[in-house]
Amino acid sequence: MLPSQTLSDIQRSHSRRWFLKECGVGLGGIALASLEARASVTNPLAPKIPPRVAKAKNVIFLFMGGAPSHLDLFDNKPQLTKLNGTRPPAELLKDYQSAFIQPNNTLLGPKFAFKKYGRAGTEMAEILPHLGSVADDLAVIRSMHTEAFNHAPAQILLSTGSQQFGRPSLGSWVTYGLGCETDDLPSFVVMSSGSKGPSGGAANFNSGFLPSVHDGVQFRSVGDPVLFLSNPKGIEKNNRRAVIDAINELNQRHFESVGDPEIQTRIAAYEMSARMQEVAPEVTDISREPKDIQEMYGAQPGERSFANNALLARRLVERGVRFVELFHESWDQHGGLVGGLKKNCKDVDQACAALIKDLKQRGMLDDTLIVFGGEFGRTPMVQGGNDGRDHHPNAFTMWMAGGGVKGGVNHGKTDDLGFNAVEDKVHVHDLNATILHLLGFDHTRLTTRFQGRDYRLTDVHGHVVKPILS
Amino acid sequence: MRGFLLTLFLPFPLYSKVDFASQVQPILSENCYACHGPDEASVEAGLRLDRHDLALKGGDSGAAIVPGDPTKSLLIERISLAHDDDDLMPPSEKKDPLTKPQTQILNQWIQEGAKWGQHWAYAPPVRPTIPKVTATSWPQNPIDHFVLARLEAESLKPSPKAPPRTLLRRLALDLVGLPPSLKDLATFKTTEIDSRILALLASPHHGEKWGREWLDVARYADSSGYEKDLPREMHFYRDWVVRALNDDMGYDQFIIRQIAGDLLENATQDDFIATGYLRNSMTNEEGGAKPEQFRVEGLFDRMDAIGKGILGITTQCAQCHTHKYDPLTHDEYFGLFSFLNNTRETSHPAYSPKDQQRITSLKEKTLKIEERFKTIQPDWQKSFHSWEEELLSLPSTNWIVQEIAQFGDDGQKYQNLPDGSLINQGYAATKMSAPFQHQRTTLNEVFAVRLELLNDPYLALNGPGRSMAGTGALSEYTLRVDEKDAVFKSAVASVNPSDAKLDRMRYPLNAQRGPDDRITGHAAYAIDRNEKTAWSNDLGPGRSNDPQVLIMELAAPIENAMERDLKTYLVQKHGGWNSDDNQTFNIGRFRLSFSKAKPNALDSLPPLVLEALLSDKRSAKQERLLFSHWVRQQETFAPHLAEIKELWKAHPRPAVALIARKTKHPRETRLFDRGEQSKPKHPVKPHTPAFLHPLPDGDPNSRLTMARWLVDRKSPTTARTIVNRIWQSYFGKGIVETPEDFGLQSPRPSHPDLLDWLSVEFMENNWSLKHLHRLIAGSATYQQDSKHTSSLREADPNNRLLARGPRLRVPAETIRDIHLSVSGLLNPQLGGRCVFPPAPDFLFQKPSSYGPKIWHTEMDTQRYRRALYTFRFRSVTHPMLIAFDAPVGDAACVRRTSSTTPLQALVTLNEPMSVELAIALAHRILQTSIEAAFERCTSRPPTPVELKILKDLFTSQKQDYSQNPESARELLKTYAPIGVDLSIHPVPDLAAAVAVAQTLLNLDETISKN
Repeated sequence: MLPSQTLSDIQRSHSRRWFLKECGVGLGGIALASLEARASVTNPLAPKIPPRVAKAKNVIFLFMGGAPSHLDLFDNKPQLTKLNGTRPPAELLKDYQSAFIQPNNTLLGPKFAFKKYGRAGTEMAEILPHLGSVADDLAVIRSMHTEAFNHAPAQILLSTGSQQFGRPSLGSWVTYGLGCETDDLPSFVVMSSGSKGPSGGAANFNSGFLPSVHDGVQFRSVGDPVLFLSNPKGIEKNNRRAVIDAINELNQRHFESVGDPEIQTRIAAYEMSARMQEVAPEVTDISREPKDIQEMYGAQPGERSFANNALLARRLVERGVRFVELFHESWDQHGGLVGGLKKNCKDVDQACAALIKDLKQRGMLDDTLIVFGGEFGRTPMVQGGNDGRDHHPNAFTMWMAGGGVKGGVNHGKTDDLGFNAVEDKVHVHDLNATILHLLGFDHTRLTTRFQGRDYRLTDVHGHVVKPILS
Repeated sequence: MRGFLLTLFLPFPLYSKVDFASQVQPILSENCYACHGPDEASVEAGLRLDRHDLALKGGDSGAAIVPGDPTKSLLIERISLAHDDDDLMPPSEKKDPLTKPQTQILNQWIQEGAKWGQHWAYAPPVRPTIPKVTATSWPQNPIDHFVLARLEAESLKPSPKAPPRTLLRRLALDLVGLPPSLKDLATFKTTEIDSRILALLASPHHGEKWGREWLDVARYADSSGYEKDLPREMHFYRDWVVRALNDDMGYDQFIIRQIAGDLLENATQDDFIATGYLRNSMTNEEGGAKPEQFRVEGLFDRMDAIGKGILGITTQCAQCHTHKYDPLTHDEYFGLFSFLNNTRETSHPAYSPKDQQRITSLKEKTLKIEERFKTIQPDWQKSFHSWEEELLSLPSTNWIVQEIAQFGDDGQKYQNLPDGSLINQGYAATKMSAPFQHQRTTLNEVFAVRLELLNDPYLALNGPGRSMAGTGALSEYTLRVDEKDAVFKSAVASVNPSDAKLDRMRYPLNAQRGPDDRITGHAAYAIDRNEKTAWSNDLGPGRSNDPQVLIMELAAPIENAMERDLKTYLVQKHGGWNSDDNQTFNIGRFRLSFSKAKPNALDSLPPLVLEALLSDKRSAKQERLLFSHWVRQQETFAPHLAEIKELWKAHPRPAVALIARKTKHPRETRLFDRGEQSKPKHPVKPHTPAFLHPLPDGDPNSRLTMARWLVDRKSPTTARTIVNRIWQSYFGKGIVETPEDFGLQSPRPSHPDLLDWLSVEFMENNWSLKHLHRLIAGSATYQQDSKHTSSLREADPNNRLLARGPRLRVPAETIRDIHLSVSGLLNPQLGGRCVFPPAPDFLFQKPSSYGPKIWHTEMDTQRYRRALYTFRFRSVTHPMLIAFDAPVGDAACVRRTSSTTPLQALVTLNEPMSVELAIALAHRILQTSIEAAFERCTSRPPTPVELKILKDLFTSQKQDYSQNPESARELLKTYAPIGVDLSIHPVPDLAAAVAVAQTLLNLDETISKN
């Protein structure tokens, strides 16, 4: 180890701040002051105050990739039960394009019974009992709609506001606007569970033409939580410390000789990497959670599961991560609808509800926004025998909770077959506008100049969905 | 300092008179054009301020501009209102009010007569005079005059020349992307700099470095993107780019070939390959995807890549509506689009020159062997003719093409073509029972069924199969008659491969699965009611891309066929296990016919042979084909045939290079309302935007003419765009900071005259990029020291005025290449297939990746190839490259971001490959010295203090590892580099040297050009 007096001022100031936070002094006056001080340097991830009053500070986006069936889970259509096995009305199918099925396949009634939950009497399928138990915290939007009806383009549209690749994702926009409350962890963390990775791939969480520091960083619940986090085999903690000290010492000397401030950013980055090596394994180690909390989520340390990721999401947000996105790509039930939904609900229902309850009991739900949903809905028409549904962009359901969202709200309606959203329609652009609004942004003003014009998440669209705001 | 900053953002020191183009139009564009600009559809109050005549005409409320009289000009009145006034312009809900200086400029401009002027970028560059400077000894070439004149105007002085070693390193990194060797450093003298520049430009590695920059623009990747992200074989295009740059192909030719190489007279393989620029667009083959929808998405992407990459004009806005700021209309967008729309997306079997030779020799040998027969059997002509006569005497069977259409709920898509055939596009299933419903047949009796396999340019290597080799297999043909399977008694085909297991594919179909008892072979396998056997057209490379035919005779004719419900199932169960890879083995394009008569020998002839046989006037090629077909049937030829078959086993497998060709029939382009394909409006003929130069002579509808137009000497933006981007690469920022956009919204160039001078100089020197490199690298401006001084940092923090040399972190690929090079492991081999260096396996597996991806890690020195050659999946780009901001190829990228993050430190310290390289460098350290290793990394010797830090580190680490030899052994064993003998070093020494090596590899200086 090198003597500490050889460390640069920058290193020392960073170490001190971490020390303060680590020792439980908390985000009191001193830490806050240092965060503000940092904002003045050119750190693109320095925490920023949004231009408007913000209800939410953090977001946990539960992306149900593959597109869950609104008709079997959230949008009760007794009429669909009655008309099961009959052809859909011809006028509905005018200009309708389907991905797999012949559009005039017969209608398929919902596969699960619905129940009314909570004081608001929110209707959801009986296979979502846990979500039912927090129904009064949810704003359920049943009138979602989108344009795209293939997975990758629809996911990109939801994530970036465009079906064309290359645009910044929601999480990137949020960290671009708000920065991050922690140096020890990435500002935008992505995790994946379920049977596959997201169809839209990394484009779902890329920074597009925003600076690449706003890329979503993938975490895992097994193995190294962050890629290349662990020291190589045979390099112990003290060996690493010695190397980082030498690197930073030499970099500092070089800085003094050539004066490029970028070198100081690099020195800080190496310090942060060492911090991340300390913090990330600790944060991602859910076995540190009390048994009852683990059980509440249905989490099993060491497993690769949505429940583990949900619990981890809470721990990350607690540590100052701004945006956590959990992909659970398992909902593409062209066939095996009943079995697939049962399994998926078993995998996510309890954990989603636990996340809400857990955040609430820690007083974090008020400023953490949770968003749940997929890239589109599914057809009222059957695919295959009688146990599948095709992609359907005209109507689907999403729900939000926490962070400035009114609980127990049922927003929007679809027609009797759940085919079209008809009342209080909410486009994915509207959803994104609303998320930004809750974070303190006018979605038309959070822009970046690229290719000679100001780009924004919602392109030229988007209206804030006011009735769901608290 | 404030005054200084102001002038920095203006093109030149403030004139007494206001300049429209540089001062007024930017204000109007930014604040007014969204509602009073080129887009007719969104014009408010009838007022347009983007054209002189219309601006003077005014709007519904009257004259916006009264030249000479600001007080009577509504424009001035409206922008000067109180901030809460409803009539204030721009409206407060859209924009902040104009600043005082902005208002003053508009005021003064109207006062001075409201003179109009053209946006600088839309007038072709004219060679400006080289400005005079005071410090006449400084300039080394005209670039320096422009830079120095500006510095002198600001009372700034350039920095001294960089030290020789810094300079040599800078040159090497910029010109070939690799650091200089110790020998280069030892012998370099500043006086030799010009010859050193020439030597570096002549290196074959030059094209690798600058090729990568172009590949960003070309959104190059080795996979197709979207959900499936299937592997592609585009490396021939990559290598073409590298070679073109090494050969200093004129940039005009470089562009023409990439946009329309296929249309050149006597187009070569290279010319076809070059059109890969158009084909680097992503393609969506997820289940249920509509091929036409994603064809159009691909065209939008091409427009974007041409606009951003070649024209320096953003076209994307005009995809949906007339541009709000720049004079590009919605119609003009589709005018350009229409040039590209007449493009067939096809593939070219690409062979290396060596393979091409091999094929030629193969064909010559085959010919010789066949000819041999003529001497063995001198009277061959007699029997040949009798064979011919016999066939020609047969009646031709009346085959009636059956109209069928896909039904059911599957994800694959078949398109019905006008000739009655169907083609499978989009999602490529690995196993399916493709069902088709027959229209009522016109035959009352059906005796036999014919299945033709047809070529199609859409299919890999022209098909007829859908695999990457153009092959396919039919496990079972099923005809259901009133829901009962018809029984076939025989099947014959034009091709009957011998039995083969499924191991001939590009990707072993079952590499990760257990034993597989499926086979492919002769025609009867299509009707044997056994899905494990299949009829296939797969004869191996070079022989599998002809049309074929399968004739199946029913056991009993179908009576009353007209009254029956008929369904066809093309059961295809011979694909691989992974539908997220190129493991399809299906039929690509086919046609189905019925006959009520018994088929004869003519029907099962290979279609090309039949065509030759029936031809009234056979070509020499057709004669040859007939003879060749006949001779192979002769019993006495059998041993020779075996010889031929043996020969052809050595036929190389081509790469399936994606290319563009002209469509047979022109496609009509219609303008899409709001850019949505579902809303086509009026037809649009190919045309170019009116505000740019006119189309040159030649077919006004041809993509080739458009390509020539792009690089026309009169183009105002083309030369400036590439010159600016090359400048950007050297200095970190372009002369125009937005290389993708030279339009009205772009920031003013820092040195407009320099940009124009370079552009004209470039064009007049045959668009030679190497000439440009020579000029820039040879300039005093570039060769300055890059030290930041406190006074300069304050005066010009971003170095826009260039009073110092560039100091920048190098791009992702160069970081890897530097590390490979200094560790001594670099494998400098040029070109060829992509390589798979080590990468974490889970990235390529679910649920990290959508589907499992195949990544065969190189187990030899192929893993040490330059990063240019690393295989790039768009959805899973190599994590080292991603960490350092390499683009993934989803869209054209003309400006990378350059971030500094903790994740980068984790990569260069912990990534196994990085550790491997550090061990190799440690080996070098022990063989030579820490000093030498330091010099390899930074191109300079360490200072005594630096050396002490490193030596202390070595000592402390050696001590530590001596106490923990297990750790040291584990480190060295786990990450042992290939081909380095580590056993010669004591373990603790080597492990300690790894610490030093890691330190060196991670220095900011090592990964920067200084």
